[in-house]
Amino acid sequence: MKSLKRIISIACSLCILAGVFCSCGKKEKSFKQPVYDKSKYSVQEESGVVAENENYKISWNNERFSVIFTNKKDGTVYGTNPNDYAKLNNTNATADFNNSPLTVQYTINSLPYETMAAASSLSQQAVASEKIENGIKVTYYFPEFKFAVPVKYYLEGDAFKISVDPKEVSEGGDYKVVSVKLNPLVCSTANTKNGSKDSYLVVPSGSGALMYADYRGEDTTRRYTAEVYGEDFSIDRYQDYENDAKISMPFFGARNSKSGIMGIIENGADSCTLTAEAGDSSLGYSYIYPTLHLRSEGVAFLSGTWRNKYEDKTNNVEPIVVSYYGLTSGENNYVSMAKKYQQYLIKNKGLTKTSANKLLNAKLYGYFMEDDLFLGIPTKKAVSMTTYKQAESILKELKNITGGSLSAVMDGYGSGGIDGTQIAGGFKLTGVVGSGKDLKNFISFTDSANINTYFNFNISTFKKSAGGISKGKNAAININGTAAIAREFWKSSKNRLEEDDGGTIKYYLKRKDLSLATEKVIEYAKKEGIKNIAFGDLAHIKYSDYTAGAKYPSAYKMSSDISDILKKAKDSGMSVMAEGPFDYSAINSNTLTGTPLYSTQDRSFDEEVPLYALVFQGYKESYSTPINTSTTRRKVFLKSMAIGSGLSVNLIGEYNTELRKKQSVNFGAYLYDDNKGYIETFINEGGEFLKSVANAEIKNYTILSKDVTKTEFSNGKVIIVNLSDKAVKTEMGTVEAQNFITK
Amino acid sequence: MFGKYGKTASKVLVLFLLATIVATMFCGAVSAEEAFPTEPYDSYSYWAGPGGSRPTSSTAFYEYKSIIDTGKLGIGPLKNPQDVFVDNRGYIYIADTDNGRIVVLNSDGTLKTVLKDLKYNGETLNFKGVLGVFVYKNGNIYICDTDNARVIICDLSGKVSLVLKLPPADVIPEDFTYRPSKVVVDDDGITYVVSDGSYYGAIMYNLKGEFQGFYGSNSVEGTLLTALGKLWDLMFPNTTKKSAQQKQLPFQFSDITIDNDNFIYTATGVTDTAESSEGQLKKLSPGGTSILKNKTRKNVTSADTYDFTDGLSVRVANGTNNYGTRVSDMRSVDVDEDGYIYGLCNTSGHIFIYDQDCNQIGVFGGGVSYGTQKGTFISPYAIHYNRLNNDILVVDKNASNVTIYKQTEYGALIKKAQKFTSAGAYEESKPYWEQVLKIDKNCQLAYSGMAKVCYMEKNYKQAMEYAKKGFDQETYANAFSFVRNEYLSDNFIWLAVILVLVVGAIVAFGIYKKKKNIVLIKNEEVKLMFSSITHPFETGNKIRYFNKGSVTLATILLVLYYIATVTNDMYQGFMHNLFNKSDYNSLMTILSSVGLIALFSLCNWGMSTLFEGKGTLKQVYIVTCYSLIPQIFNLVFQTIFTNVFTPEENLILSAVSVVCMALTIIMFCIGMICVHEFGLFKLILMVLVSFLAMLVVIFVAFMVFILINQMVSFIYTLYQELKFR
Repeated sequence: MKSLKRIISIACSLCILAGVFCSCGKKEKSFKQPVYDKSKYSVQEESGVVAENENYKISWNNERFSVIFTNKKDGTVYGTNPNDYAKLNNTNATADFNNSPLTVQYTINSLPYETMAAASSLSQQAVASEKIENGIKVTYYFPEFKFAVPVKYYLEGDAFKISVDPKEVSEGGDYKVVSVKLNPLVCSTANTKNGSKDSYLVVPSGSGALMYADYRGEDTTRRYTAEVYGEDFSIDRYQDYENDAKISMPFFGARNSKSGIMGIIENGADSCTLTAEAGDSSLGYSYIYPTLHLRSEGVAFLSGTWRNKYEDKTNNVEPIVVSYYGLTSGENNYVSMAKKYQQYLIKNKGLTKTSANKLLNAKLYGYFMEDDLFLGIPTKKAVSMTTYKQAESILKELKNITGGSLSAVMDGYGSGGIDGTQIAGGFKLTGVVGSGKDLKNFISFTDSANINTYFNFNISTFKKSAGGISKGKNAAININGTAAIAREFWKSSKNRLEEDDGGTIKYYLKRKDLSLATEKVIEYAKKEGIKNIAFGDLAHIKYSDYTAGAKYPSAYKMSSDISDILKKAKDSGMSVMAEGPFDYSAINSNTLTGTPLYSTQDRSFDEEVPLYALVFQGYKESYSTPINTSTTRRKVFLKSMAIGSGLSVNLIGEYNTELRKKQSVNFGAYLYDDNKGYIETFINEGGEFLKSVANAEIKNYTILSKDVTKTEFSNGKVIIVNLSDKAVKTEMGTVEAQNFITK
Repeated sequence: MFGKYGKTASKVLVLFLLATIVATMFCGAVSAEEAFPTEPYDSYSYWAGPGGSRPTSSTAFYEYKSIIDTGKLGIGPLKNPQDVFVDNRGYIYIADTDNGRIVVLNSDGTLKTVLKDLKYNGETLNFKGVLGVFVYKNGNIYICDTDNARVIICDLSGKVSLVLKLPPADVIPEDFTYRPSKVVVDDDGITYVVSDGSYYGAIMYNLKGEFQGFYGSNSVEGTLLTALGKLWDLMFPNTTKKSAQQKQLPFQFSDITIDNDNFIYTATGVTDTAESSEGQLKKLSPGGTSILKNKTRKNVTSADTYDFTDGLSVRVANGTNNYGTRVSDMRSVDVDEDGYIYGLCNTSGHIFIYDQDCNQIGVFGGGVSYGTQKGTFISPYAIHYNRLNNDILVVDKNASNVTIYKQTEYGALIKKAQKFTSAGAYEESKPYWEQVLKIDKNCQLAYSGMAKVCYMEKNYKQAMEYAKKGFDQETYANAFSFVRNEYLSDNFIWLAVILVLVVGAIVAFGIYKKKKNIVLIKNEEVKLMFSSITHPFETGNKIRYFNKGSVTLATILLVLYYIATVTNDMYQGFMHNLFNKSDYNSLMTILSSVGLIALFSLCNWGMSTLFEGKGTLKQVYIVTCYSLIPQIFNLVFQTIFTNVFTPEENLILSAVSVVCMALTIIMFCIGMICVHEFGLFKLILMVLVSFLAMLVVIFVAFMVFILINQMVSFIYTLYQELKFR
């Protein structure tokens, strides 16, 4: 009895000790947050010009606490408080938002709040300013909350830049700064009259969109907001109710009849949200601006209820920098903005030309796992969708149809098939789809037929262990301290598809392990003689990782990590394909598939414009969204024609009704035999033109009328596309409904 | 207990059970999220199967066409609009509720006129709060002036001809509040007005505006419990109960529409406060009774028990990072000239399309109260089908706009094909179904349609293949009978020869065996086991008094019983079977077969001591397992012959089932009587007590399981809290 008592008490003590110490361990070395110091209000720069170069002049007004940028080319003035220079008869001139260079979102007791600088900092004259090299640093103090946000305004190159360093934000009380809406009215334009198309906002959602800045009545502000590069996938979601196209490039703009301005988030775009508000009736302006997330936030189930959770800052944050470019008349349009962004990528991010588009890219799916039973015991059975032999046969036919202008992607050939439960398909490409010999024969066929064939290895998520990667060791950690989960959602209710209902839970790979997984993929590919690879959805997702000792809060540095991975693959001699790529993935890949043809089609958007194609067409071998994933195939074909992109199609060799269970993909439309008819029709119809513009850039894109557009390519080719249901007379002749005309 | 193979057998059994438990946690499928989807909303249909219906991706039936935003027309934006109508000239009428006007647009979206502040008999009729609008074939516009309790009838120039108010009538209750929200008019000029908050049905007026009565109220759903409760209250009333009594009232209509044949259709928002509701859409006869039938399965049932929505409650944020759920709310309905019914769900933003037999054609739209993309909604309130061009218009109250959808080629094909199929014109439907399948092989309706086509073309094998995919057991069974008969007639001769040979061989062997005294089964235990079928008393006595009977054989029988059960579940003929291997839980099968037998044996032995039963646990177990022999035979028989006999020939299968069950019961009873030395009455009592004991054991086991679960949950929560600290 005595010894039993002893054992029990030792066990309890150990439990308590374990509980006490379990939160200890490898803590991230947190940096020291600057302490709020109100004595620095007195530091003030005199009003006047604080910096100047051949392009811009920065002036500081220490009475209004406003920063003004003057474009020396045409005298256009931009600034943090537009009322100072806009000279508008604006009845809301005193509105706080109009006069606030920034709005701070903060938290206390895990609840979010917001305060505008005009209402707090400026009204209490709690602003400090000091000259810095080529600019001025303005610190906005918020005395009632005891935090201060320093913002740098400076000139560099042909831009004026605004930056915030999260490490310089000082705090002194219980209030914590979460995010900063930065200078919303710098990139803005005054509202125009109802129906005017003179002024608009440029939004890089998906392919691109415009929001006209016309005023349409009281309470009719059109608002769009989205995270740059999409939402943070490490945050566990209960619903996925949107089919949204992500913001693919971190640039934006505003334009009126005389001038324009565009912004590029040069650093920290992964941690930004873009907001556009058009036709704002209360303020008289339409504007677009970034919100900088200085602290990570998520939602956690704590103490019996859902609460906001905020992550304290670590050393792993860098200054967020937004550069602005004033645009004079002639270059104040979305085409020029896209071209300017293209130049920026060439100069600063290494965008270079790769090969020309082929006519068609075919994505072939390998196999899937079907639920099966063995004597009542649930098992899985591999069912092929396209074997290597079938793939070879399909590609042979397509090669004949396209005259050899063809590339291919092989997806779902690894372990688990399209369900891919192991990292990079378990580094295995054989099984029900064919043996090792079949694989070799297939690779040899594609080489001899000159068909660039990319094998897709998904390294971002996994469920089962493979290649030394397992959940316990390598799963990324979300803000709640649990493994970051990738989920599936019901088509109908958009709720989570739980495991009980046949859904799969997968885990995101630790951010620091992405490089290791890449190396393994390259090693395996070389062993199999594969020269072309892709990395699944890595080209278009972002996620945070709160692993102790290797934190990536707010998806920090996702773009640069992915860029490094793709570069590594290219440097090792591989040709890299990126699927649905964001700009950083596109830059560092040889081939792009699933490039956007549409924006997110938000109700606030007035026009669809091909910003993405304006940047990448002619530089990267590109294939647009697969034709058979769309409602109207002809529309996708015509939109691809309008931007000169290669066509794309998803295919399977055999259909099984069990494929209907896949919630997010409609394999019912992918059977090759059902698709080859219209593939041939489209290639015959548009092949010649697409070949002629295969490596030409888009020089100009004009919306002639509703659903009628004209594209001019750098090699002189022109196409007018009519997506409407009626014939239209144009300068090049009558274009029939759902048709095109070329020159 | 298990003899010399006991240890190995028990190890195998444990491993088997573990494997089953582990393997029960199977995984499904997942796909990567698309960065740039082409469609702002999803389209899907439901695929019916043994485990119920499951949403399946589909090519879109309707695509987004445009949004009506009156802000661009210079008349100011709409403000909480709640109805829309398109007349036979193509004019679009929008009930702009909070602006108190009817906005009339041309078919191309340009402004025609705005009706507001109409004059009538010297009075200005302001209809702020207008909830409904309808336009009759003669151009008369019916405006539901809800807040002023009237329906205004005017023309396009704004000239008011009549105002319908609450009629003075004895049948109208005194406390009735007239709030006209929706209105339709039939070909005879009878006006039907739905009053917001009324559960009496629609109010009818004739051409002169005279009250004609109520039409088509919903009925109250009664359950046995509510009925018993009422009876109890009646028997034992008191004042407290009387004051607390709640009248159960029918749900009100949220929308009303009329088809080309003058049939009225209604939508009844939420019909239950539980997770899913039923009977949200109704088609009413001239007498006001619901006549819509659910003919999606073999047994035709009333559509009053059919859930026209997704049936899953939607998770919505309630503004404080907490999530609640909302049931589906079928807010609005319309019908096209072919009888296709379009239901609009306010909760999910989905538009459901059904035919007259409640076959679901498809679902599209969305938003789930957050929709900001084109084609999705925040709070969709009304749907209207434009018969001039097949467009669908949907009013979003909170987004203050009207979305227009255009029918796709795929949508047109399905509707055309299904129209022919419903009319029995299978040959005409064929080319359309073929085109549908060429575009999208996920369309189950197409397989069902093609099954009927092939059946009519006498291509029975193909019909069976399509029918299986289409989950059309009836067509499958019909086609199967032809295939079987054809096979039998083609192979009759050699089948007959084989049969004769087999029978002859059995007879010959029997004679030979008798002559030569051949013993087929030498093992005594096995002999005894089989003799329990023909000589149950003798077997029972041998088990009781001579310690005969083998635990090993009994266990083998138990395992065979499990295997036969699983095999039967898996391989029964499609015509009879509703087996879904994805949801199959072998653990439950084991528990309900092997587990139940083992538990019964234990409980029976335990309880028998109370009744002075003489049988040991071993004897009870052996007898119970031996009595499973007929069941094993029956399961094997069913597995094989459900693939041979059609449901119409079920009699043979049922007969065999009954005989085997009877045999099992007889063997069991006799066996128990022998081992326990009971009479029949005592046996029955003991069996009942054994069942009670089983219930108690199951209950206790369940409680222990819950306790362990809660303990684990508590420890995990503690760990989480400490971790977050």
